[in-house]
Amino acid sequence: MKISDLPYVAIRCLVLTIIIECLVAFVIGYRKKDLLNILLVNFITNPIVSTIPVYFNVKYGVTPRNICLFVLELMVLIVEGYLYKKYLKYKKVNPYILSLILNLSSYLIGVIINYF
Amino acid sequence: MKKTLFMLFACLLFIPCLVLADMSGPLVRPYNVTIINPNGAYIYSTLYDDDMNYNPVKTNNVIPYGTMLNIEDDGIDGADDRGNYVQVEYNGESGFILYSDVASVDKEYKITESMLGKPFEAIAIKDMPIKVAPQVASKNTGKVIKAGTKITVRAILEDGENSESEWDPFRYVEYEGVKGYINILGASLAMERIEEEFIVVRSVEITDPITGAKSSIPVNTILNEAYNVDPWSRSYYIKYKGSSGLVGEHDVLYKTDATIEVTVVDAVEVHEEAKLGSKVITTLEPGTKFVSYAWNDYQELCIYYEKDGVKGWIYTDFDDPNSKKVFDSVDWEEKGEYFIYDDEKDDKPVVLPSQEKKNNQILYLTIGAALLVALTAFVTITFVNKKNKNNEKV
Repeated sequence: MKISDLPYVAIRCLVLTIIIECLVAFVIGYRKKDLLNILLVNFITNPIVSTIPVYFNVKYGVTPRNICLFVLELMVLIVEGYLYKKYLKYKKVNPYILSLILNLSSYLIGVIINYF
Repeated sequence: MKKTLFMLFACLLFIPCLVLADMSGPLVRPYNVTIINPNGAYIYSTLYDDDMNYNPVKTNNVIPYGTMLNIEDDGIDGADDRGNYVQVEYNGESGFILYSDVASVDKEYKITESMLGKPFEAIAIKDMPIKVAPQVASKNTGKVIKAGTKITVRAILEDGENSESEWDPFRYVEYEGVKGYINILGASLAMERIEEEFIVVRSVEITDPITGAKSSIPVNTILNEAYNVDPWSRSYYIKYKGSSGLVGEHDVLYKTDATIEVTVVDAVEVHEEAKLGSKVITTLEPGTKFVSYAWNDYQELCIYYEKDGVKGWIYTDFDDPNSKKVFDSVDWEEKGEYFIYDDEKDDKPVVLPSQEKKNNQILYLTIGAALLVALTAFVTITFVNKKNKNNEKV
């Protein structure tokens, strides 16, 4: 990936994540306003996670980038869980577990897509 | 037993496809010709001597006027200015005869839509006569495409295969109501535009094939409009500042987006141009590191050097015994922008100083945009849910 591709990669990442996570959330049982909230939460977290690590990669190397990614993903889990707890009406799934499930789904499906 | 026989039969059919797939030489289309030279066609036993110098040896054997032969038209020699020969076998003897001594007798070359590739735009660089069939000795239709004309051409697919062969010297064309075939050899047709940029490794003079105008392109010029011509001509058709012409494949290098970091092992000279005898502009001491975005490591070693405003070339030509052998002096180490998400690479990407500023701009703008999106989404989610809460209270 070149630096000049970063904006397109970030947008593609965001779009795919939203589609996958909303689909998985729908399957779990979330509807309408909850799906909108899930979408908005991804707009909050995903652009940051897909761009900040690139800065670390360019300036400091791959290892710092990986550390940054790990820390950011952990923060994303906590932040998303908090926001889901605060705003989602469908309460059958623990919001932090939901955050884990959705993030894992988008990560795994992304890996599959990249593989093919 | 039936299964085994079927498999054997299928294998027999399959093998020719493998052979065809592996073929890197020109496509051959066997066809019938007749000798049109009233004095007959002399057979040449060989065209080259042991040192591979062009030296045709004419025998006393003559194929009489009017004789019909079946030949395989390889097309290359048809456009070769060393001579125009076709290989033949006559009365048990193999040899070569001149193309000019024969003419095709096939009245029609049957072509269907499924035999043609996708149409694409091309520019005639030379006058191109349209032929009746995709054969060097084929008759002309009488229509000529003038140099400079933009035309739409299609590749001819062999035996219905989907793959288009770059080694076919013919293309199908429909031009001003005439359907036929043009021979692209001799850099006659500028075809697909090359997406990558080239850097000129030595100053070159180009001649516009259409107007004859001459232009000079200085060394280190970046060319961003280049087109493929036939693969045998070993050149590219380029356009530069209103001029156009052909540059040799050794006059340019691809300018890559990836970069490599070079570590000099032995002292090596940097020249103004990638040309023997070119002025030396600096000498690099062992241990010097620099980044390059254009290089090759074939016989003609060529590496672009740029550092602290100095631009030049490390260059050697192994075919010249007087050239300094520098290949062993350079230690290749590949890093670069390619590897941002490659976990095998531990080092940060290496970029040229001239690229760094642009990269930083894109990076900071994208991060800024990401933060703005996140903030906007946060405000939105707060607002939307507050509104809903108020509605519920009401």
